[in-house]
Amino acid sequence: MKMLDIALKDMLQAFRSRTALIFMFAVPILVTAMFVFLFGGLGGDEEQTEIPTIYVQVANLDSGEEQLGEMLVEGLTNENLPIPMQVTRADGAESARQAVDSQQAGVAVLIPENFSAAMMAPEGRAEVEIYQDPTLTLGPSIVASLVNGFVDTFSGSKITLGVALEQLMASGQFFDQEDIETIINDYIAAATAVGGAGSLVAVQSPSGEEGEGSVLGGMIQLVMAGMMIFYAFFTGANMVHSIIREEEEGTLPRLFTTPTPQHDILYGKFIAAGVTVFIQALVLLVFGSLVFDFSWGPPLWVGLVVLGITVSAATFGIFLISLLKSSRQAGIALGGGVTVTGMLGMIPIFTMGVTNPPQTVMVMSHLVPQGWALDALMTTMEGGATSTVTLSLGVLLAWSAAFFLIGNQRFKRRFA
Amino acid sequence: MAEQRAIQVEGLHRYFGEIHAVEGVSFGVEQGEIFSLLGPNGAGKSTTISVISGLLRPTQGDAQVMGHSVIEQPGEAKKYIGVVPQDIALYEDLTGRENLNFWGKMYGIRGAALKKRVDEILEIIGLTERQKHKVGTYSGGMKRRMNIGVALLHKPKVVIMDEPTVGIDPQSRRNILESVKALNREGMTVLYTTHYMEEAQELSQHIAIMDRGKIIARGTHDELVQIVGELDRLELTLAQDGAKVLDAWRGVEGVEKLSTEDGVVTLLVGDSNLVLPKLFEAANQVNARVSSVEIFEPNLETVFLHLTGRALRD
Repeated sequence: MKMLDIALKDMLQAFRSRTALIFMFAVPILVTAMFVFLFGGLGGDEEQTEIPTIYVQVANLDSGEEQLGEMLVEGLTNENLPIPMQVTRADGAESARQAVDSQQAGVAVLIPENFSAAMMAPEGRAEVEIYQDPTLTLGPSIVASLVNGFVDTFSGSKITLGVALEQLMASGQFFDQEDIETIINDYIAAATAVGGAGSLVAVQSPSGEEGEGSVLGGMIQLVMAGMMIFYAFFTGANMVHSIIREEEEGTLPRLFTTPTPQHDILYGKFIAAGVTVFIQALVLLVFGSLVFDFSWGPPLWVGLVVLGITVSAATFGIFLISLLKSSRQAGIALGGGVTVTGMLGMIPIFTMGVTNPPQTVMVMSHLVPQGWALDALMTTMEGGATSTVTLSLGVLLAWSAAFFLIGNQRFKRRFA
Repeated sequence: MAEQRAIQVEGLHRYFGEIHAVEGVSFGVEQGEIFSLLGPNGAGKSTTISVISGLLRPTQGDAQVMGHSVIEQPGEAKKYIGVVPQDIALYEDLTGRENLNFWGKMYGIRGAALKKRVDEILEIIGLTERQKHKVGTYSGGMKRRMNIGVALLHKPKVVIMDEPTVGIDPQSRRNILESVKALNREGMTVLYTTHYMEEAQELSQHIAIMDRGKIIARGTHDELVQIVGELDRLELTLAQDGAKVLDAWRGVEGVEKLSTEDGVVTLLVGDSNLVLPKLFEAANQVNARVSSVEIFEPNLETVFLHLTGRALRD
């Protein structure tokens, strides 16, 4: 009971603090609103969501019989594509690059000679080069995502083919080239059908509606998700920081003179951190849904992800603050520690406009819990596999357990 | 059978790293009395009461509150004590009433009993009108009163006050001293720490003088004063640097102890009528000029000077 009294008191203080409220709610909302303002909207209103035409030069050097390069070009020139693109075929790679250099095009897509062969080979690897005007970010990232979608579809077909062949051969059936092509074509047809509107690649908004603004809306939603996670971890640390603040202000020693067990005092503060982060995340998600019309995914999974974010943010705070001795250090830890780890976790958002970001950079986001939290939320938003969300949540839980055990032990020793 | 003591401290030691802050302190506080721990800053008073309050674990020894060991039964011992810390320890962003409600819950009071007691305390400390204002908006004196009020919420048998008058104006100081007496009249035992000799003298039935982690004398005011016997305390102010005269005065017959601070020289002397002329003579010989002289009856300051060779304010 006293534990809850302490938690309620801490929460009352937090929700009365203008600074805390600004960081909990105002900043994430303002940053998102700023992006909406900068890009003129989210996609609901055509006048507001107009994306400038993307001028693309395509150099198809693919020499394979399967002509998958040609399929990619057709995909990019598909009239049903909900992106305003003007695609021109270039004579060669150099000509395409020159078009970009002379600013006649914003992006050049260079399909390599071995594209079909690599796509067809089980372990094959082809690299489609996206050559872009360095001053542009949105257009190249959209083109890159279209190309990636195409390549992903083919990767899926390779896996499908591999599994199908393996199982059928195990049952004594053997196939010629024609059978294999049939399987691939069937898979592509199925993938295309899922993509909708007969296009090979399609951009899907979180709500499932297609539209030129949906890409932008998705990006802004991602920004809000990132802001929510970033500031959730900030809130977690800031709430636990009350232990040090109270120690310095004398109220914590005074609490220790009352007949209140030490663990009630500490756990009360941990509960306050968790509940506050949960409220923060919930308010931001609901705000995003109501005001920006964001769809975060299936409620059950969103709820689980919010819980995962809550627990990891609160325990991260316990761990971080347990390492500190004074409020002076806390300033550095909150300003530096939370910011640096938060930035690392948000790498997938920062690299949205970068074509083919280095894999090592992307891996770095998984060195911190914020990266896994973003993974879980992104996957839920995109309607991804539950196994992926479960994995991210599992990792978050493991981080949380480690943070709590270390932090709790350090605090207990400190006040013993 | 004798009544159980409110506080019993036995052979208390407390180290902070290499520093031996409390060295074998033992004393007992009877129920219903005001007991003062008197000593200069750094004497070990706050460390001693921190152990009694359950804030610090002693390195050696034990303390009991109403028969409950602060080591073995800290939860039980804490039920009987209300601690008034030296510095204000309140939540400034909560209102006066919210503070009292919260601290009351920490002492295990709830529901209607809590509401009633909070109303009573607000009345006692004279803050009923300001109960809905945030403590951060209170004056220093109001915060002091609230600081005391929190410690009284659960009607403790023992109130521990750690230098509650440090850094406050004379009027607030007087109010606090009167409230300590009022609490004592209601039957509460008060353990009071101070470095103001007059406060200990005015309030306490028993006084323990602490210096450098040890209790150097203990008893009633009269018992303590008897330690110095018939010695008088003189305070002489020098008009200029009087380093040379100090050596001369130390050699004067009848001077028992001498200490100096900020140009004021404090001496313990046998008979001031006999010694004073000799002091002036010695001063003249080294061309030192005495600008004022005060003669005091023996008091706790005299006792401290006698026992330590230093003034209490040092």
